[in-house]
Amino acid sequence: MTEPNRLVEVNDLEVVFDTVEGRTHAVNGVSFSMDAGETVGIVGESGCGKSVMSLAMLQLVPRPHGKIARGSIIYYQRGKAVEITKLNPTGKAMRALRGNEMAMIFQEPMTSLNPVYTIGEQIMEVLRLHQKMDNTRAKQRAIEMLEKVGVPDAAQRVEEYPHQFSGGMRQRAMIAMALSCTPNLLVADEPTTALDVTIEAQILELLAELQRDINMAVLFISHDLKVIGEIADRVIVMYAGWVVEEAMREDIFQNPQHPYTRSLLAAIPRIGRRERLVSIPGRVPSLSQLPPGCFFAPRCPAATDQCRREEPQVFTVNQGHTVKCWNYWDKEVQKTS
Amino acid sequence: MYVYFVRRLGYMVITLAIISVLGFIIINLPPGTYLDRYMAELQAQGSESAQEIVKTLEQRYRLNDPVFLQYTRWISGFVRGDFGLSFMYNMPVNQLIWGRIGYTVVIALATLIFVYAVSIPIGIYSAVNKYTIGDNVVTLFGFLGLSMPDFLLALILMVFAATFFDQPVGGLFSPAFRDAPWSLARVWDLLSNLWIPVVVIGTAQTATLIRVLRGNLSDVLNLQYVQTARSKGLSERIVIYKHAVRNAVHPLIMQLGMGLPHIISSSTVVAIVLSLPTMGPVYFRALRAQDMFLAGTFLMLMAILLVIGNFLADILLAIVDPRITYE
Repeated sequence: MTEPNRLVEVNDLEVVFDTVEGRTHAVNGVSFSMDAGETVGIVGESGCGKSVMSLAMLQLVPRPHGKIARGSIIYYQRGKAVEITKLNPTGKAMRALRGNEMAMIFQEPMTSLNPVYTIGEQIMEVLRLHQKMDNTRAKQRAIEMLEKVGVPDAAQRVEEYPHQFSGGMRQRAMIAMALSCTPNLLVADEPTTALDVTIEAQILELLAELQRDINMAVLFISHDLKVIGEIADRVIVMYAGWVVEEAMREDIFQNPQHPYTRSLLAAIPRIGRRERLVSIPGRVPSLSQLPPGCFFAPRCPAATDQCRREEPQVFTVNQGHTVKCWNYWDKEVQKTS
Repeated sequence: MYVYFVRRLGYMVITLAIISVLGFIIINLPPGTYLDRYMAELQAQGSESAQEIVKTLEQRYRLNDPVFLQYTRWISGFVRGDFGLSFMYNMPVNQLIWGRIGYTVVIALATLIFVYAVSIPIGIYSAVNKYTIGDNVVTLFGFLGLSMPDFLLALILMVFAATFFDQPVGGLFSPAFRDAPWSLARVWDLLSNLWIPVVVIGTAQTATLIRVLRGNLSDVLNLQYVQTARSKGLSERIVIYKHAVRNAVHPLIMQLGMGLPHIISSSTVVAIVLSLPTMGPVYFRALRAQDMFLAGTFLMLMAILLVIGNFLADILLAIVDPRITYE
């Protein structure tokens, strides 16, 4: 059933953290897949498990408290399936993939670069490790990459330290570092959240451009549905560790099915629209004290008794569009049967 | 970097000048001088000419001059290497101090190496394996080492060494070598006896540094750039040693600057218990006897060590962390 273009498959993934308050389920049975060159956006509020999901993709869930408890992530390395959840997170096989075939950029450009090494050294390190380049070649390549991501005077700035770069420039340097080995998959965890709007637009454009160049798939994590709408081909909406809706971008924006997706859309301001912005009452439940039934039920305007009792099933709306909500079943499935 | 270097050098000279003035004043503060005591002693012995002896001494060293003049004379001699005269031992201070400085520096450096060689690996281990059995054992011994008084540890180790290694009690040499001329065998004998004072003097500081490094490193390990390093596919060893530890050693380097004089002055009690030929006990006696040039010289040497140590630590810190010289 696998398609030739398939790059990543996540099946029923569960990531748990053992804390003093007990076991929390940060990612709770998530399944999705990605094709080569595709951009998939994961959207959700803080604490919905999207960051943990992104770390899990590279087996970087912070240990010893966090671990992948169930499910699998399969990565197709030149058509050959590698079950990376079976690899030792600190082992050689996993490390050979990280930074080389799958790379990651993070939310905080201010803290994601090491303050005591030059930008150049931090890029060269990856090249020496994975591409077996010597220092001269690696430095050339580092300068090339910095030029590519739009850092001016790259030949000089390669010798500078992160504190001599502005936030936007640091994120560019981070991207240069992540893409230096031309990975097949880039996991971007809120890469523009800490930047101001004009820089954000530049970085998004840059990412899209570089992505086309090397036919790289991007898993783009954001809390901002607007940003996701600009960059993603397909959108996954997460809530409290669940995928509550998944669809092509157009379907999410034009035909949202889950009440949570609708509330997120209603919270986006639009120029010319004079209605009040609608906020979602309440907040994301604590992952260690999840309600029975549907996790969204306590905040859902359409919740029924069934919602508060039973976990919703996943229903298919149409090709590639799924929703995890009893309401959909009540409205659509029951009507036709 | 160069500007930073020169500026730090300037501060260093100013600091030393201020310390020398304050030190001299403080040493002269208590009522009476060594000569008062000396005179009382002579008179008690029934010496008729006590008054005159003291007078000659006073004249020879111009001790009735204002403190300001005495200070200028002492400090101008000091920079030329003439540290004045010790009344207590009745000989020039530099002759008295020279041999002791050698042993003091040997012990201090050996202690410093011991402290860092032990605390850095253990601190890293403790931070990386936080709350494991190994970490808890280390922590337990750390607190034990921190809370045990030096002299007690010295006594325990002396008994231990005498019982199990048949080593002499106290001193830096076995009896056979005590007054022997320098030879390879004597150096070896020194080294084999050195470990007791080194362990005794270094234990508390080792324990402190383990705690400091453990706390600091476990904070750094949670920072984003450590995760970034992992996401690049680097091995855990490189992630920890190259990316995390270098960002966690700042307090250890600062401690290095203060370490040398701290080790020397805090080893006084240990030196007395173990009868070591170091400067500590002499300083202690000089202070009690108000032997002002001897005490002053010792104070200045300590201050110089402290300031140089701090200077070197600052330079090292600037090399380790480029943000420090950045404005």
